[in-house]
Order: sequence, then C-alpha cells, then structure tokens
Amino acid sequence: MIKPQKNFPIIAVLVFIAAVTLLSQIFSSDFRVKTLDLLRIPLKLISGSVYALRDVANFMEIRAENKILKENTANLEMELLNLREAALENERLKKFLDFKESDRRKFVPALVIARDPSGLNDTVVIDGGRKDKIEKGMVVISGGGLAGRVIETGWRISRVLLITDYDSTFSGVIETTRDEGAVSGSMRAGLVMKYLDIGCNATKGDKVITSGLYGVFEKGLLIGEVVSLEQDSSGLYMNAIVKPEVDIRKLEEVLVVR
Amino acid sequence: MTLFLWIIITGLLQSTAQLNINFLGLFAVFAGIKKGPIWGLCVGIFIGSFSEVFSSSSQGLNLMLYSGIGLLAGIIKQKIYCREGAGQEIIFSFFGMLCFYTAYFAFTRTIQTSVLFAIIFSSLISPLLFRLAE
Repeated sequence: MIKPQKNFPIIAVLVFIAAVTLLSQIFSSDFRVKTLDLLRIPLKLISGSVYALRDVANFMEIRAENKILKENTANLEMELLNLREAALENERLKKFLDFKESDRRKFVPALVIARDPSGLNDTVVIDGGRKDKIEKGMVVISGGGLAGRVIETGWRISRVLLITDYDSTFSGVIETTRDEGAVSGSMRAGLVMKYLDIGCNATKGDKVITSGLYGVFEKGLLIGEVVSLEQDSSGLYMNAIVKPEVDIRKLEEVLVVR
Repeated sequence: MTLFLWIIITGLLQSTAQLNINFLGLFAVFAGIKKGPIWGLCVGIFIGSFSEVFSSSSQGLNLMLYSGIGLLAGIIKQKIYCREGAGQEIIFSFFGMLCFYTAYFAFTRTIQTSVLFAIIFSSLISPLLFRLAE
C-alpha cells in the first residue's frame, strides 16, 4: 500500500526533477533576451536610482575627483591646441601623399542596467540592442579600457560578457616586451595571462593590450597592467596577474564599438 | 502573494546593485523551513526562473539550484528537530547557501573564494529578512 507521508521526500524529489527538466527548456537564450527587453524600463529606473544613491554616498570622493579633473582639463586644453596644430599638419601631409582615410569607428553609449543576481557570472545587461545597431561580438569599452564583448542582443537590450568572467579567454600581448599569452577572466581576482614565455621579463606596471589574434578582439585595445609574474605549476610557462584597466565592479556606462 | 512581490523587488535590487547577500537564496530557504518542502520547491522554482532571465549560466542551472535548496531546507526541517528561532534560521541559511554555491561550483567546475563572505553575510542577515517576509 502506498503511504504518502512516508514516500513524500521521494515524490517531492521526482516533482523537482520533472519541474526543473520541463522548465529549463523554456529558458533559451532567445526567451531570456525577450524577457529582459520587457523588463528594460523598471531595470533602468532601479539602476539609475542605485547609481544616484551611490553618487550621493560618495559625495566627498566625487568633489575631490572634480577638483583633479578641473586641473586636468586645463592641461588637456593646452595639449589640444598642440594636437590641433599636428592634425592640420597631418591633413596637409595626407593630401600630399594621397592617403586614403580608413573607416571611422562609431561608439554607441549604453547604461549598465542589470547584472547576474547570484554574482557568479561577470555578465551585465546594457540598454542598447539591435535598434541601436548593436550586434553579437561587438567590443565594449569603458574609460579607455576593454570591458567585454556582446554575447546576446535583444531589440533594446544586450548582454555583455565581461573580460573578468571565467568564460572569457582571448589573446593579449605585453606592450613593452611583446610577449603573447592567453588572457583569462578570474572574476574578482581580475585577469590571468597564461602561457607566457618562460623568459618573459615583463615587470609590474607593464601595459597589456589585445593582440588581435583569433578574432575575438581587434588589435591594440588596452586590457590592463601587469601586477605580478609567476611560474605556472608545470614550470614550462609564466603566468601574469593582470589588473583590468576598467573597474568592472563599478561599471555604470559603457561604449559599444560599432 | 506578498512573498512573491518581495522576491521580485529584492531580485531586481540584487541584479542592479552589487550586493554581497544572496537574498533570493534566502527566500528559497525561508519558504522551505517556514512553509514546508512543497512551498520551498515552488518558491525555489519561481526564484530560479527569475534568475534564469538575468543569468548567463547554463540553461536551467539556477532553476535547479534555487528549487533544490528550497526543497532540501523543507525536507531537512521536517526530518530533524530544531528549536525555532534566529539560531535555527542562521544555521539553515548558512548550509542552504553553502549547498547552493558548492553545487554551482561543482557544475561549472570553477571556484570563487569570495562567496564565503556572501554565505556569512546572507546567513547573518537571514533572521531579519525572515521577520520581514513573515
């Protein structure tokens, strides 16, 4: 005779397996993106409020930063004058050499509106999608450094895989020594540049840029700087710990390179 | 109904602000220990479905983990005697979170030591969250 009370855990586990198996079929990439598209406005409102609150909390820090920025602006204006002169000279020389202008890149600004709630994946949702001509595979930058690449696109939202995610691996090169390696995400620990030549003599502070190999990212994008260098467990290669140029934890606005 | 509303609000907050507390996991444990395994399972499925939308992890992983900890918390609560109170809530939340992250790392074959803080913070805040949810 069946005793429901006694068999309850078994029944519950069976229900659990059936429910998870059935429901997990629904959550395809397309379904996720479409749902996020629908949630775009509430997410934008909440994330906007959170950023505003964060700014209020960091008021003193922002004030000090503002002071530094004002000083920097004055210096940059001087530099700009010199650069304008150089640009004019460059223009004249290009005409002289009949140089063909390459296609200029376009940047689409976007706001980070959501992250993975469990914090176990370094992916973000941005408020720009196919409507803004954002496509899968496009490069995402922030503050002059590489932030990630678009992995899913909806009509008005896109999901970006950040460079610090475990699933992110691409080729990088140390700017000064020209040593190449595979840059992998290591979540909060930053980035690890693996398979560097055993004789690599990079030092702390050396810049790491994308190498352009394997087509993940184009060449010359700033990734970060070397923090430390150590031999890997096999003793055949060197590994470098790289601090990303972009503060992934504080990512609020990004630029998608079109 | 209120519980589901709370889940949506905290879920949206958790996905916009970077919090070191897994509110969604706590809600699954809450449903399991306060309302029984079936409720734990149902609430876990709801939380898992919500997380699936925001997450980029393997299809169905969040669904399985959240519903799993809700169901497990409910079954264990029925099987063992444990005095009601903040202590019980902290213990259940701690082990619930520990199971969640351990299973996640086992499935994804990764490890993140920083989750230890999330486990500790989440379990410490659980009595307060449970009072609010009640």
